Amino acid sequence: MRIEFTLNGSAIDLNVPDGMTLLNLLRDRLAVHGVKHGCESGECGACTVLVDGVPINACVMLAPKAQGRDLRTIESFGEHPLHGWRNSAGLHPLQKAFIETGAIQCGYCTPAMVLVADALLSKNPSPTEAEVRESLSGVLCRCTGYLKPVQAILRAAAVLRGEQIEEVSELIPISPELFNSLDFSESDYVYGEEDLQLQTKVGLLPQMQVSQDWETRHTVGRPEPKVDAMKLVQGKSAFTADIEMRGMLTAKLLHSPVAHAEIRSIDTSKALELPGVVAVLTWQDLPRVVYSTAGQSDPIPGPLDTFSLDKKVRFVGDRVAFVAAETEDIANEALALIEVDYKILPAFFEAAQAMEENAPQIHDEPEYVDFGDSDAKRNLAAKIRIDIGDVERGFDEADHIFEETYQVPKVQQAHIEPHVVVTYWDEDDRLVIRCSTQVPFHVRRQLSPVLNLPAKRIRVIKPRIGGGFGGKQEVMIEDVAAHLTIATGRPVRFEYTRAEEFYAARSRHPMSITMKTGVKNDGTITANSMICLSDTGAYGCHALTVTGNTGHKGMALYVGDGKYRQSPNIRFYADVVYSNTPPAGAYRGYGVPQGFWAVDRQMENIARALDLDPLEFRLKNALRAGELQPFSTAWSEGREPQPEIINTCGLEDCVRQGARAIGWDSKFGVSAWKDVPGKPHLKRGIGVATVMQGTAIAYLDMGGASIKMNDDGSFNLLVGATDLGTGSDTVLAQQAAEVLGVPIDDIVVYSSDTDFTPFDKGAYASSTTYISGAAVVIAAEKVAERIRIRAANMLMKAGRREIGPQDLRLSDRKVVAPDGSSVTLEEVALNSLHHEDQEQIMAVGSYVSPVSPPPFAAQFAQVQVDIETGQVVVEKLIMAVDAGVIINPLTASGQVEGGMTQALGYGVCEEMRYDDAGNPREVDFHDYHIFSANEMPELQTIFIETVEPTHPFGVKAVAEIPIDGVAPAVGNAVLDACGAAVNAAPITPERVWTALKGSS
Amino acid sequence: MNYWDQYLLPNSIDEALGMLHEGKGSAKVIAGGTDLLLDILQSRHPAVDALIDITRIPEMQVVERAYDRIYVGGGTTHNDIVANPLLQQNAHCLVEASSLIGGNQVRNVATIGGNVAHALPAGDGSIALLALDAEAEIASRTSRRWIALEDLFLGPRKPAFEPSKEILVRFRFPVLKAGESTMFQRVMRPQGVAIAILNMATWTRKSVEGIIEDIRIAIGPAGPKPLRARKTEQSLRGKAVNEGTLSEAVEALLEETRLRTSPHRATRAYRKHLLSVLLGRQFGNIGPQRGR
Repeated sequence: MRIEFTLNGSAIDLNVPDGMTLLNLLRDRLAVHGVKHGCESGECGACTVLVDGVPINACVMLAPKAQGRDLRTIESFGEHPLHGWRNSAGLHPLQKAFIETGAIQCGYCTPAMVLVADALLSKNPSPTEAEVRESLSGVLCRCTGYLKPVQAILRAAAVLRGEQIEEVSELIPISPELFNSLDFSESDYVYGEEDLQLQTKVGLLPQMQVSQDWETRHTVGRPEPKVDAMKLVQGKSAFTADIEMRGMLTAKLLHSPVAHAEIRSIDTSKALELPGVVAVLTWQDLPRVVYSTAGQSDPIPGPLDTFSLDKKVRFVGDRVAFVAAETEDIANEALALIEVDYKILPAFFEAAQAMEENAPQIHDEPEYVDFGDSDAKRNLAAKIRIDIGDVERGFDEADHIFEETYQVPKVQQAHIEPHVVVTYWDEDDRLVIRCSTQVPFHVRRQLSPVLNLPAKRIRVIKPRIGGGFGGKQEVMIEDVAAHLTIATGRPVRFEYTRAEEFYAARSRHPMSITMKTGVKNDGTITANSMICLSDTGAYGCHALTVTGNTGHKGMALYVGDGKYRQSPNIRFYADVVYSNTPPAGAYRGYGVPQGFWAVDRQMENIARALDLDPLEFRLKNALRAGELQPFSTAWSEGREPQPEIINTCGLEDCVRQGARAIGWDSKFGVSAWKDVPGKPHLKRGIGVATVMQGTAIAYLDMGGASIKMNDDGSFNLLVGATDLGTGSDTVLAQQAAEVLGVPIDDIVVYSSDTDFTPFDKGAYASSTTYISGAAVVIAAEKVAERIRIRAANMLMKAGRREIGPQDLRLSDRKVVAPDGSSVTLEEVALNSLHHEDQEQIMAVGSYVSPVSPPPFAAQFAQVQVDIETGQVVVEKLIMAVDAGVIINPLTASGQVEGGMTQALGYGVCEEMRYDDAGNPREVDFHDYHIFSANEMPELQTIFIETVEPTHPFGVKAVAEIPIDGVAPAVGNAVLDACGAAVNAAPITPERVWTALKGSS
Repeated sequence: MNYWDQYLLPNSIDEALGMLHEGKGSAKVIAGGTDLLLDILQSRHPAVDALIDITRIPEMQVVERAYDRIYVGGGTTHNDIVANPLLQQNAHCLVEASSLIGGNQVRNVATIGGNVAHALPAGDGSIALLALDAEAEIASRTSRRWIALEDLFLGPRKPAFEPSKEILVRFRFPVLKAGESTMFQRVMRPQGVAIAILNMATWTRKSVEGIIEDIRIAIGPAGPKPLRARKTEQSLRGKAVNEGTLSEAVEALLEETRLRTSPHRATRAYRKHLLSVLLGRQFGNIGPQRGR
């Protein structure tokens, strides 16, 4: 039908197909790419549009409803202030505030947030924090934890009211002594109030105990704005799907409706007859190449058990056929016309059934390639048996033995940008794969055999990514579009729906973990054992390595004390089994959150049973600097292990400062504090969990970087490292800028394009700031050296006395001699490119680390439990983290806030379940709830800097550790509040109620 | 794929009814459309010839007081209800329920009429209106009639009017008088507004001495349709609230509710327990646990 409306001030008058949503009209017809697709049911809010000034979700609004309305999108807001000779008003104050406060991570939901904020402020120029959170409540964000977006909106409101605003730029460093004297009491928090009173009081920057060199640096350690924030806050066409190509087809996937079956036959004839259908592919059309979808280095440390399309389906949602059609509607219609005859096979959905005598064998294909101890006949995807020391003797020497079993659920990464890929043949007949991935180089290498195309004929481009969290450390849907482009010769776009993300993507491995711990009367741990049953689902991607990490990090933290410290007794056994459920895979934390749910709940139980102080008990037995990472000599992802000494460990300070911040001494064990006056049904509790992670995989993970100097003294930094919203482009630019003595503005970053940038293994294992950062520093130092050599010559020619490159330093866009004379970088650049003895100043660096230095953290949680209903409200989460030197306090605290928020969902509400036929129960954000802005507890981040000697700036990782401690800390706090011992996460109201019934 | 041939924007109820008539059963009324659109696109609802968008009919948007009744147009969005002073004063339970529906953007579009017409056993709007003793005005081409909300539901997704011929125009309920109050409570998965385990709305009139003179209790999900807990109401009427009357009421409530285990949400045993807690809180001094 024909409709007329106003879009960002322009009159629109067009005919729309009758079934079109406003989202499709805006994105596909009008190329308004600031409006994003995150779901199809109005739950995520990424597609927010202002209609007559009111925010609505375009995905659930029919295009005809726009008739006569005034529509506004992010495209009507500000622009980059530099537009050549044309004057520009620059960004809108809301956009500026989002950049300054670090409110943008992946930026996929940023346009929606700016729009709902604009709608709020136009009605209410002085909103309270609660009103801001309410306005944001319909925009789901998986990256930030909402703290910084809330601060951005409050800040913009103040600017718009004409108030003076403090600059974010300078962080005040805090010495350990000074830090101690700060008052962290939560005087302005009123307990038992109905409304959440939140964190406006928390400053824009995290509290930091900074290391010595902080003051000598000009950009490392500073809250620099993200280098990609400018385009993200404008909603520019920066993401994978924001591309239009002539003749582009839409791909759709036919998923299996049954959990386990052989495909007897597939009839695609009716689908092919449908006008607009260009290709339908089944297993009969594709080469049969067995591979693993896990995006990992060569050789893949896991079984090869997957085909692009197979004659067997192994879970509800498994692949049956691919369709490419002129439109999405036609493609969907074609799916319904494909006739499949399934021979149904017996199926099972519980890990415990996998190794039973008569269990159906999920992988019986002859092409199956084992890795390590995998055994497809027994549905065993991976098996781990590690004994360190003599565990049985340790148990014998103990005064007490504690044994308990703990469960963790399967959960979804839930990045707001779904998996999406665009493929096309370029003018050189090379296959271009533009995709939302964390592992562009692995995509190229791993798909080469699958597509029967040499890697050199493939180019993978990673644009901006709308969050990944491990879900995109998977070569998961790229092959679908690629096969269809090969089949049709045409560009193909393939994007998952939100439902597909739930039933046909990856997830965190659910596990059942039995702990057995021997302890002496004085609290010395004599032996610690973990027996783990992990469910990898229908395919073994990441099966071995995720579960290996559960022990490798989770069981490494508590070595024991005294002689046990020198020679700990640790056992870690794991069976990773197949089941007829969607495959698990990589999810931030990579096995470690599962481990710490069990380990830390166990520590809490021991401390309580023996009446030991929970903080002291943990620290007494925890790993310390100078000691061996106990697993380093026992296991290395199926490779040869190498001993590794812990260089830095700030755990004790983390515990001390975190405890101070949450007021531990005035709350823990204080019964008066636990009661809520006038509300006998409410009980407060406080809990802690101490955790560690790793930083990259030693002797394996490699990152590369190249730096090129330009005429004006600026630099191009090309990295293979994959910024998926985390800010890695920014912290890498900061490290280059620090070495080169320039502001971060002078570094032009380009990341992840297999044709243009050096290799990087990709964004996983908390490695980029450390590994790729070291590579950047190596390249920058080589460039700096060439600059110094040329500058020394230039200074001598200018009549100075003899001067050596080693005497010069780079600072403030200049090369400065000890006597104060200098040449500018621009002069050096012009000299080298144009004037004499011309050369391109350029260098490549790469780095692989012999160690994987662990970050440490203390996670504190404060909860309120309704002992009648079992409802738990988490009031406060404080995490004190030793992540080494912090390159950027804004992006780093953003990682911690967002990680804690995801972990909170893991702790209290997120869970993927299946019915008796293997159908998923949760397929949208209604049934699978992730936290929204108006439900959040107060968040606080504290950084305890240590200086890791293996990195040029002393960096360790920060990305994954925030997700390790929240669930156990909340579990411990619930136990503290009301005595409910909930051993299975998530801690639902009914589980608390059931536990209370059992304990009373 | 053709989902519908025409998208129509009538300006009056009569015009809309005429369009329905012309559609001969294959036209469909759409308001906010947030649910209907999903149902059609995901093939849970058959394709139709015409969609009749009633959100531009002025009569559907009105919230007003006439004599001793409040009238709320079926096209009123949830956020309009939340922001309306008249409703804040007279229908606290409806305001509270509306504020818990969906996310902010959905509340800007989804309507109270749509929420009720879906006839879900635990529809927040339905539960609140049931406690308010509301009636719904149903318009057909030949007449208009008022149906008590309790009679508006036949079963899950089955309203007692013909959506292919009739339109739910508006609701009405009595204004709140001295001694009267309303309340809405919900127990849900932690901190999440998404998954309601149990909803309860009440309207009570108490004497100065604290005797319950009259009471209405609505609950969902407690059966195939939103439930008026009449036996429970009866057990409380004329009594002062104390432990004894409360436990009698709880017993009556458990007797007249049909709770079941839902694998998504909660077991029957837990729901049973919650019923007694919620009812107790309705009369104790303890407020509901904050959930958002």
